[in-house]
Amino acid sequence: MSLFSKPKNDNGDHAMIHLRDVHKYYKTAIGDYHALNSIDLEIEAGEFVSIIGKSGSGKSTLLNMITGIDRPTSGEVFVNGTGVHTMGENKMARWRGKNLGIVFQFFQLLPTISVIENIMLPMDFCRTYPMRQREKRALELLEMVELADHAYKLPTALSGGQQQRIAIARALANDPPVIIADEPTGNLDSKTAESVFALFNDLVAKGKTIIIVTHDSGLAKRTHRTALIADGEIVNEYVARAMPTLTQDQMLWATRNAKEQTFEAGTMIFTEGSSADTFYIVSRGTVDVVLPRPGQSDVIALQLGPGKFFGEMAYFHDRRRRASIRASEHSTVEVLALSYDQLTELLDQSEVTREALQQIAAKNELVNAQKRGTS
Amino acid sequence: MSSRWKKVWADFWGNKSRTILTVLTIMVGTFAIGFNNNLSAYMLESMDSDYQSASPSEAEVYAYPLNDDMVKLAREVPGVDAVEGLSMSGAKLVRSDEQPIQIQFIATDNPSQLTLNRVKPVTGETSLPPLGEHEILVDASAIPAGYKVGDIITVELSNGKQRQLKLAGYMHAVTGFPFSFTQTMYAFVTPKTMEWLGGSSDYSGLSISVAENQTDAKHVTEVAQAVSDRLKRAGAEVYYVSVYQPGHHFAWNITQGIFFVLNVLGYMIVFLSGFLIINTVTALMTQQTRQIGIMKAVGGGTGQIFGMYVVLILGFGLAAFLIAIPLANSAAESFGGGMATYLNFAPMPYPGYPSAIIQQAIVSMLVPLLAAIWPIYNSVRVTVREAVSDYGIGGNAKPKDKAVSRAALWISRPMRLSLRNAFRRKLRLSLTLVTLVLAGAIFIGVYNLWASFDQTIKDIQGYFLADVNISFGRYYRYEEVASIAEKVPGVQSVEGWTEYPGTLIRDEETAGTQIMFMAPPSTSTLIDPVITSGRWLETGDENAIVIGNHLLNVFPDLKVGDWLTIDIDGRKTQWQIVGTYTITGNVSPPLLYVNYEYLSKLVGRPGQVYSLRVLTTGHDAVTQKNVRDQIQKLYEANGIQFGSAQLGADFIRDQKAQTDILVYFMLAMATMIAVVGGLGLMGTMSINVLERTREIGVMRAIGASNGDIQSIVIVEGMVVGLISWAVSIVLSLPITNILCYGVGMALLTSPMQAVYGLSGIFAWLTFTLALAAIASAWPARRASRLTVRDTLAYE
Repeated sequence: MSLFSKPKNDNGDHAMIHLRDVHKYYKTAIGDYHALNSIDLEIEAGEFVSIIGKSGSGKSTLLNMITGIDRPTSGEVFVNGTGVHTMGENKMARWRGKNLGIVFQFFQLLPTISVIENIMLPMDFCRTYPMRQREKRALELLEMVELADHAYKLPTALSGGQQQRIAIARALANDPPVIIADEPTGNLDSKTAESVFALFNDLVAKGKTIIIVTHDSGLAKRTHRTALIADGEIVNEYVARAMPTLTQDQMLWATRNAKEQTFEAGTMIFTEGSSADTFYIVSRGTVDVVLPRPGQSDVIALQLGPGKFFGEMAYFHDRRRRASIRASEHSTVEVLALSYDQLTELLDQSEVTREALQQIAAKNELVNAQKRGTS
Repeated sequence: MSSRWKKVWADFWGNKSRTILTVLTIMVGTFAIGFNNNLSAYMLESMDSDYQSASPSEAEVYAYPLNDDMVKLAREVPGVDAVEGLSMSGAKLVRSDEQPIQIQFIATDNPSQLTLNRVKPVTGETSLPPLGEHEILVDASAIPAGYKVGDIITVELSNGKQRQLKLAGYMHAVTGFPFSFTQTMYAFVTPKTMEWLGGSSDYSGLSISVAENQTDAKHVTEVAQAVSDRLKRAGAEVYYVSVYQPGHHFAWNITQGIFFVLNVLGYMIVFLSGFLIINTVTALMTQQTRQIGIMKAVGGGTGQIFGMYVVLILGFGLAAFLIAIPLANSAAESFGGGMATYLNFAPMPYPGYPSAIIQQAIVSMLVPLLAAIWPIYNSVRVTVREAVSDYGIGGNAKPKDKAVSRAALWISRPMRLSLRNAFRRKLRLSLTLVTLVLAGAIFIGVYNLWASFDQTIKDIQGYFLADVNISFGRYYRYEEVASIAEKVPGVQSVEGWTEYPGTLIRDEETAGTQIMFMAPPSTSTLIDPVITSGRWLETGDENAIVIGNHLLNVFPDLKVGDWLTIDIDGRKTQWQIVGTYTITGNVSPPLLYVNYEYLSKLVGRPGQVYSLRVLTTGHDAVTQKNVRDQIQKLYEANGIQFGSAQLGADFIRDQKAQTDILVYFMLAMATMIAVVGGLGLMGTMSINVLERTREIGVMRAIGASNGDIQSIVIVEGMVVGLISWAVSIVLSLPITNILCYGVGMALLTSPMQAVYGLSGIFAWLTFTLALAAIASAWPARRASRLTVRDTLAYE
């Protein structure tokens, strides 16, 4: 029998995890604290997603919404087709045991029982495997994390990295489709952190959906996708990818001000020479940078996918479009549009981003010239 | 075993000190209840089965003359089942030591053929030893007097002659009063030996057993009175009818009374340990909060986790139960054996008492469960978020009042920290305080009970102020006996008293009530009664009478000014009640005080006395004994019959011996209560230290030494102890009242006057401070051993 079953998405074609307009307020002595603000997030089955943000930005609260550890004040949370926000505490515990494997920053192994007992505990609570198979499975999981030799020791006898790998083995005990890890490497040295991360990669390869919260942007970059959270809101990941040198607050400002626009496949978004007042970031699909050539067929100088932007050259060159942009033939394109005024406001605050954008504009200018010249 | 039950086991077995503390807390109450129930069942069953198997008589009638014809007449009285004649005489043992021992001879051809008050072989023997001429068979309760089988015992008869008797052996007479209580040996002799000892072959009394309602004192008294009347009609002079706790061993009521009080104390211990269990479980659950959160995070349902902790608590209970059962059984068996010897009944083989075991099971399992259910329920409801979030150093501090802070400046900062710490967890502090306060109040209450007993004995002593009380056994001229006694050096003064039996007639139809006149001279200085209404006797009073609480128990409507008709030797006499007195203890028949001058004339013995009361110059035991010995020698030289002599010191010693047993029992219980209090404080202090692990780390990091940390913890314990001590003094007042009332009613048939002494208060202060020091020393030591790394980096 294989250690993991093929994850199935109980929610048909929908995302494995789906948060819809989630708000969370905490009551404090000085009034309500808005911890999460209108969060919309979709994570597909098999995705490896990192959530990053500053301390107090709402990362853990967001994670708690997904695990059902905490409830949204408003909004909906669906995990594997189940409305987490609708479940009672007791039902939730059982559901969580079967559907989510949680890995904590401080491992949180029960100190009084052995390593293998810790791994068997979720199986006992959820009665997921026959009694006789539980120990075998726990040992196999320990082998997977290369700690089978320590099965009968108490957790306190092991190092931090070993304890974290055991915590991962425990998270996998009931073969849940989703693994949620809160700062899983936050308390480990870099070498140990690397081995834990490798373990996550293996699991993703085996079809698990993994969400980690991390401070380490280096690690975050190695996941499929990163959700940046600032002041309780998710920064649009394409904004973050397009202008990574902005501060989180600036990214959030951009996220809030950018307007979403959709273009059907093959639609011309703007044409060369037209007057320009908008800067675009691709959030879905690809756009073609089209260079019209007199008497000849147009040439596609570049294709820009999600996280790429266009409209920067005109911003720096007398506000006239320097190329035509067209939604690619194959898919609908979604973009985030920022007016040049807004862009100016943003770049006035971030000289480094202005320089970066200028360099890219210059580079693209060069590419365009070459394309036009060589064709 | 699945891993969650392994976790329960790990929680149970892994933290042994916590488990021991919890199990001990539950066990103290379980043991107390088991011990009390086992012991009372064992004692009462043994007492009753031994007593009933001896075909006891319910009443005795003393009259003269009595013979077999009279016995036959008595047997024909309606309601009588059996009658046996008693041929008795008394003597005194001649001994080298100072203990005066009386010996009461009862004549019988064959002690194993008695039909009433049968005697049995002593434990371990199958038959009574054969009884030959000039031999005695002695009740085994007198074994402590030190005689061995085959010893020759010298006795001095009332006429001064000495006789030597061989101790043929011991027998067990369950229906009599034991030697330890009366300092009198009961011994069988043959009728011939009785004559040789100067006794008469005639009977001096009858033992009577009634046909039904053997335990109904009223019925038994009526039947005995009917026998008495029948004997009178047949020409006998009836001296006295005795009915004392019919149908039961003499200690039956006392034992029940004692166990009632002990059971109340036992359940008090259970109640207190319930508080401790709440505290302990709350602390346990606080420690487990994070683990509960993790279990929930990995799929544990609230019900599943609740079940785990319920099983853990039941585990503690089961452990306490399993330890307490054999302990309570063996303690009850050995203690019961000792009490059986002391109270003169044969203990039966210890059977074990399912009802006690059931009570222990309830106390050990159900009480902890009830105490724990709320803390467990509260804890398992914690959400994963609350459980795994990191709180850092505990908060809940309110901004302080500046004035208070300024006022507290003269106290050192660590000391202030201790004081503040003591009040941080208010619920926990309250529960600990309740336990300690109740423990202290009961402890002080028991001490006060002890003092009340002493006061009661002093009050009783007021009726027996003489240092030596000599009874002659017949009447002598006062001048004759007084002048001899006054010659003895050390004698300060003497008084001649008289005693005379009578029958109080309330209405002509029914039988009268036996009473005894006590007649001190009207100028007596040797009686200091406790007057409850009216006045005491005065010189010149003639038919004035002072009645006591025992007569009032029978006739509660009697009051000062009422007239009483009392039959004296067939003559009806009239008396007016001028006052009432009270005396604690069992007095039967009721004593009525009248003036000697009037009564002696009334009974035709003016100037004659029945007893002489002597006051010595020294009042101490040695003077008392010397005076008695010298008076005795002089009387013997002058041919005056010396019946018996009781020393004031012996009287007090005998009284105290009986009440002290109860006090020791109660002090044992109070000590157990104190132990529960100590366990509570220890538990609380351990929990406090555990909770403040990080805080202690911080203090260490900023320079606190081992001594600083230990003293902060110990002072906190002392503060809690002192608060509890102060409050327990107040609460001890009503508890003393309740104890004195309950114990008085149970043992002495009247409420005891409560005495509030300082000794209990200071004893408890010492105890509390010692308890607080011990209870916090261990947690303090643990606290001081924590390192900064342990405390701040334990995650």
